[in-house]
Amino acid sequence: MYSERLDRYSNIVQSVAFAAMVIVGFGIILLPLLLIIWLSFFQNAVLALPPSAYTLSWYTQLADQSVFVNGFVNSFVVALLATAIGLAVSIPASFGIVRGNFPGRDLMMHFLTAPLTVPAIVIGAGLYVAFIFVEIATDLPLVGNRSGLIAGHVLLTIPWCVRLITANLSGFDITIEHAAQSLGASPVKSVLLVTIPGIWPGLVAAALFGFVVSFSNLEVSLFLVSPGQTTLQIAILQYLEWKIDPLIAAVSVVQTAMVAIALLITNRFVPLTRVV
Amino acid sequence: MATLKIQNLVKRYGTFTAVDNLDLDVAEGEFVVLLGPSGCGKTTTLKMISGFIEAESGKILIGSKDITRLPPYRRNLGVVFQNYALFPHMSVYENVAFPLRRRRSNKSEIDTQVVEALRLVQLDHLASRLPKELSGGQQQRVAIARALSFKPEVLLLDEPLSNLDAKLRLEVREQIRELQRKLGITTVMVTHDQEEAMSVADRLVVMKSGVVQQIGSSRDVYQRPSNQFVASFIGSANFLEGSIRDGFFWATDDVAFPGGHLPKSTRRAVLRPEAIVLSPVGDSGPTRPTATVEEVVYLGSHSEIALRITPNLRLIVRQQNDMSRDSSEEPCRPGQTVNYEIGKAAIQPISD
Repeated sequence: MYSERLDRYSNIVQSVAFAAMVIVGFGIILLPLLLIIWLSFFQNAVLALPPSAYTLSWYTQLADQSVFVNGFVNSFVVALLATAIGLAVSIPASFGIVRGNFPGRDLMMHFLTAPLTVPAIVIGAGLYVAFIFVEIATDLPLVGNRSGLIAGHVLLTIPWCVRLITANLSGFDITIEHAAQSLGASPVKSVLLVTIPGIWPGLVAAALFGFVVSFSNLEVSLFLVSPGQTTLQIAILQYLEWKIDPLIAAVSVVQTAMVAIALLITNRFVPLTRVV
Repeated sequence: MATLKIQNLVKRYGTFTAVDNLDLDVAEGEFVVLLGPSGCGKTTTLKMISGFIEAESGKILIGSKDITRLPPYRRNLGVVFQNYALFPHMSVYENVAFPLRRRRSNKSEIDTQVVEALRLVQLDHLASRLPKELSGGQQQRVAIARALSFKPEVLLLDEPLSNLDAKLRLEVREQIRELQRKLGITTVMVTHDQEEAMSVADRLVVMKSGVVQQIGSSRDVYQRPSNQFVASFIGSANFLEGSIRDGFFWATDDVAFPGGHLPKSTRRAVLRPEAIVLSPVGDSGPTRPTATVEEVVYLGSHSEIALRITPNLRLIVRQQNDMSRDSSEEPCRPGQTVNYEIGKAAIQPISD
């Protein structure tokens, strides 16, 4: 009797503790977001609590702020290209790592995912110095050029792409590819017709994560942008150096909403809980 | 349809020889089963035929065409895999149409052949389903239809029934056999299950450690096994050692067995458990030898009885259980003395 009651008691404690941790966890993640959303509707340009009135005017002003609009376009283009190049490198590399049978496969995997373990600020600084050396030696315009910025962001997308694609590829049954070959498809055709559709969720997730990581990156971009070619994150940082008003909150809300919408749309086609 | 000829096929992995000098002729329309324990080289052989493992030396011919060095997609063979290997993102129809599309058939041809292939396996009503919406048995039938839709010259089956549950296995086995007969397609199947092999094969190829032990019909291989391995792998067996004298085979402890049909040089022989007939002592004259029942294991349709002939000779006997009589009592009990009789040609010689 006694131990039964103790069991029930500890069960209750367990579920209460679990619920509390979930609530606290979500609170820590969501509270700043909710605060920012709230803030973006304040009428006062100087922060005051409680606000004297609410307004939508910060959002309408946004379109007139060319730093933010240009920054957004620039970030978007860089993220798009960095993701495309990242995938172009990661897909063949993942096939090599998963299917290949050569010494140094693990090493290659570690090498390609290494940027995840290096602080982004170090990557940015390192690339900046390296680009200067290369530019002096070869006269290639790298520093302060968009191609240099994209190259830096490719480093950020590759680890995510390689991780997600290799995970999906090793879960893909190779006899299905063999079946395609036995039915008359060349090795290249069988990969295109059977394997790629089979690991499609992984590819979508890889592209999405690559894009988000590149789009939201600040540290690497800081060293590599040229004047007049800032990314959205840098534009926000520079704005914050001079003033704090609800405009910055509005920018953040728009940005967050866009990422959230992208995730939701992707989730409709590829259940993200299954691939990540 | 074509013949399949394999000559001196060899595959080594370092010092390990997976397939050692394999020779095999499969006639047009014949159903041959490669049978053996795991690691015997049967799957390696099949993969060399399908092209997924490269032969080290030797030749593989379809008809008169040498395919030994062709890549898998140029071999024009239908392959059915153990785990079905259907394309999960394609409908049943598209799966079966896949080989036809690779061969650039036109639309109406594809349609006719897909429907025809699906009818063969009685799944034409499920053409629009995805593989995951089908049962295991249905999936394997789709895989078979896919492997046949382009009318390949040879059909290769790699443990096609291993992933199915026992009841379904029988059903799909029957269908494979029926289909193979109907189409008359030259077929090679790999399995480790001797009953499965015997039930479908025109000829069995029994393998061990990369070496062919015996090739022959199920009856041949069972009744006249070439060596101890074959005799014990297919069915169960009693093994005897001795020599021929005066038309008898004299085994351990000078027990004589009928041996008039055996060659003079016989040293080892096999005796199938069901070739020994037991009867109560004194039932039919004094000519029959007696022995003691040591153990009786009831197995439903039959019982296995361990029979002590002499201190050094024990035989396993299989006795059919007579269900037409009410026999709640065992026909014989441990400790009982019985007469036993062995058919005139029951003992078969085996090589050392």
